[in-house]
Amino acid sequence: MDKPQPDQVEISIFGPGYGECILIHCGNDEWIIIDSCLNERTKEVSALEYLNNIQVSYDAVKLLVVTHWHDDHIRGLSQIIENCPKAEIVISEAFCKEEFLELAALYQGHDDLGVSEFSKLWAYLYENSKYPKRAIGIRSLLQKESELNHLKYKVESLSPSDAAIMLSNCGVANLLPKRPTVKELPFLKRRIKSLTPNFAAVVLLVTINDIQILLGSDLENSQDENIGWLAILKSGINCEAQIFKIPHHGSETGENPLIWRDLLIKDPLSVTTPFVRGKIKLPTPDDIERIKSNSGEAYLTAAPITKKAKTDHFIDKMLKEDVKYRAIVNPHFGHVRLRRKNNCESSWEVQLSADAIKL
Amino acid sequence: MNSLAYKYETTPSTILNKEDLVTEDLEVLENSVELSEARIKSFFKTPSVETELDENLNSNTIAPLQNFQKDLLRLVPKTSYRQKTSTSSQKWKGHVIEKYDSYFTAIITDISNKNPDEIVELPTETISQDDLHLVVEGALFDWHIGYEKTSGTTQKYSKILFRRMPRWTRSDFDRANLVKNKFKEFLSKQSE
Amino acid sequence: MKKKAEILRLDIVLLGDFNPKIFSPAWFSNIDLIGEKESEEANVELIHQDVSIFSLDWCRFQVTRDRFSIFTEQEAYFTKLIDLVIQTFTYLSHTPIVALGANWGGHYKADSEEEWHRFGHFLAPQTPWLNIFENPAVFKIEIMEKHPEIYSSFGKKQVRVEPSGQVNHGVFINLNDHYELEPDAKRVGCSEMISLFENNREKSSQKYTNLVQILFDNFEAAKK
Repeated sequence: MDKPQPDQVEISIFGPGYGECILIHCGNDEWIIIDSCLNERTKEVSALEYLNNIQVSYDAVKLLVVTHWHDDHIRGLSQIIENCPKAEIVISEAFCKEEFLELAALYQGHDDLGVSEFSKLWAYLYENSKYPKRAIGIRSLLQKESELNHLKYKVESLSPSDAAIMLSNCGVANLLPKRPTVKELPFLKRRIKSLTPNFAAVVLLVTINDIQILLGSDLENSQDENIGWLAILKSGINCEAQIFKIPHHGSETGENPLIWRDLLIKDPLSVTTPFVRGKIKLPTPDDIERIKSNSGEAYLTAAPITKKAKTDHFIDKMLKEDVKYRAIVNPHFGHVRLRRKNNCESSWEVQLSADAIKL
Repeated sequence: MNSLAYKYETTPSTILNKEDLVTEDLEVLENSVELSEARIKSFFKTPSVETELDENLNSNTIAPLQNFQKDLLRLVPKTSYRQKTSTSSQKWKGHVIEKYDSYFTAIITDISNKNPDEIVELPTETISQDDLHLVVEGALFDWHIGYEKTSGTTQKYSKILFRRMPRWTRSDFDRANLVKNKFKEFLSKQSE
Repeated sequence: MKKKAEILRLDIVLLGDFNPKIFSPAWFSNIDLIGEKESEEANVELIHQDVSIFSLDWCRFQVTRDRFSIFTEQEAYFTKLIDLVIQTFTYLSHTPIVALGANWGGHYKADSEEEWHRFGHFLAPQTPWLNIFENPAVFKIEIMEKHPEIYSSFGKKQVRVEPSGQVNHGVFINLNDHYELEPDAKRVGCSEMISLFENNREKSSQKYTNLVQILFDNFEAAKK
């Protein structure tokens, strides 16, 4: 694999692992990473593995955006943070609220309970006196201009809204264990579950010269126009993205026809990371049809199909007696890479690796 | 001072049997009997002179004491200790995603062979009675498959052991509060 | 040498001030640290103010006035054993504990009697002992190292290797992972000690795995 030219824009999307990961080369060897996942095959952190493979220094990473807090979505994040010290870190404003800070503090040191990456993130920020940039509503997170290759790029957050942050905080407050009293036996430590729907998710708009990329994260739709996609749509943001990372694994909960009408060009190029966990397989066949009909080209990082688990004959035979159902979580993992020269009307070069497919 | 000398040694001692503690007289006892404290003390090579409960105990820690006080002086003779041994060829760590009436779903991570994570559905009848109340969303468990040996016989086993995790204590919350306040103070400086 | 142990063992020893009389299956079951059925099926040998000894299906307790010990030779129960120790002394947080040792042990079988002897000579060469002994053999070797950066000034790791008493032509390798805090008159109870152990439990297990791996790798390299 080769690295992009200085005047080439690249968008690389990895998934599914636990979560997904997006790398963007804005130009002039300046990279952005959004979230983190592990390559299920190699167990390596996808972002770092890819940068190594194309011989890009970790110092080239200028921005790291964290859109989730639960371990199931950001595995390997702490390794990216440690290895990319030159990257500014962006987190949702929701993660700076008291409830999230309490969560990070309480679960610090507990690696099995679902919050270890987030706890490590906060510990790192504090120990290195590194202030995070906070994503809230429409906000510019990074803006750069360079004579070299006439490069001009901007990274903006489009969410979460104020109302979404408040809702998210209430959700986290309910998840936190209660302080034990003298009279009752304290609660057992347990793995905390992820909050759904994810109202604190950060949607990003990346503009590189004439290219706009809309990264939908896991943001879902809501009846309430103050949260979710409706809040973004009513903000009046000027956006005509050519590339769309479909939100929430292509599910209908992340779908809103107004996104396609108001935020994207006609027939954009779309990429989806599926989600497969037991009987839940996203995107569904209906979702796929909808995505195809709205997109000029549509890609999946892997097909949403299950795969039976196998260990060895002796173990499988013993398990057959006890286990009603058994399947691999996110059995397929792939990489969709898009490249195009900056300031040029050429079409996107698409490369599909591992299990990635075109719809 | 000898730099290798340690005041405390936490290496395991030889298994204590009654024979280490008692004189031969005790072996005459065939059945469980009530023994006076004085009689018990006479069996020990270095009897303790204390007769009071020590100050470490308070009502919270000895609340159940009354329930089994009658067992305190009972000796169970002639059972020599024979423990099972087992080694595991396959080990998973798991956590419960959802609990239903007769089964639960869980994600398991292979810690012995690095196979991919799996989602499984397990009937609750595979869980011991003692552990059933522990099967709730978010509960952690270990799953081992291997061989166990008892007195020369070897047999296969598959054990799902739910963890009685440590409980959240007030000092956990106190510590977390200090850390949280540090984070808050750190963030507040950002706005200055 | 077969790297997979024939028998694995975990023995946790705490030194401090204990009241053996309170430690019984019924007590553990009452605070849900073990199951009711487990408690009923326990083999109680002695419960007394100076010593308590009882066994469950998977472990054995021995508690005296200054020493609490629990061990198992069933690998599946290692996590449960550590959880039990942590839970017990979180509940009894006022117990003074001066030291804690996690003793990870395993019995490993040599491929042959010759290899068994060769392993002994690898650990302790015969040469220095010639002219003193006719046929020196390793009885026991112990190597120790302090770990001040992890466990304050008093922590250490101590490895013991000796012929196995349970496996024919086998060796027993034990790691005593010892935790001790600096004496502090103001310290009350054992929360700090238990917290230290809880934070290091995974590393402790990994230490043993690594130790055995490296020792056998070094032996293989020395054979060539």
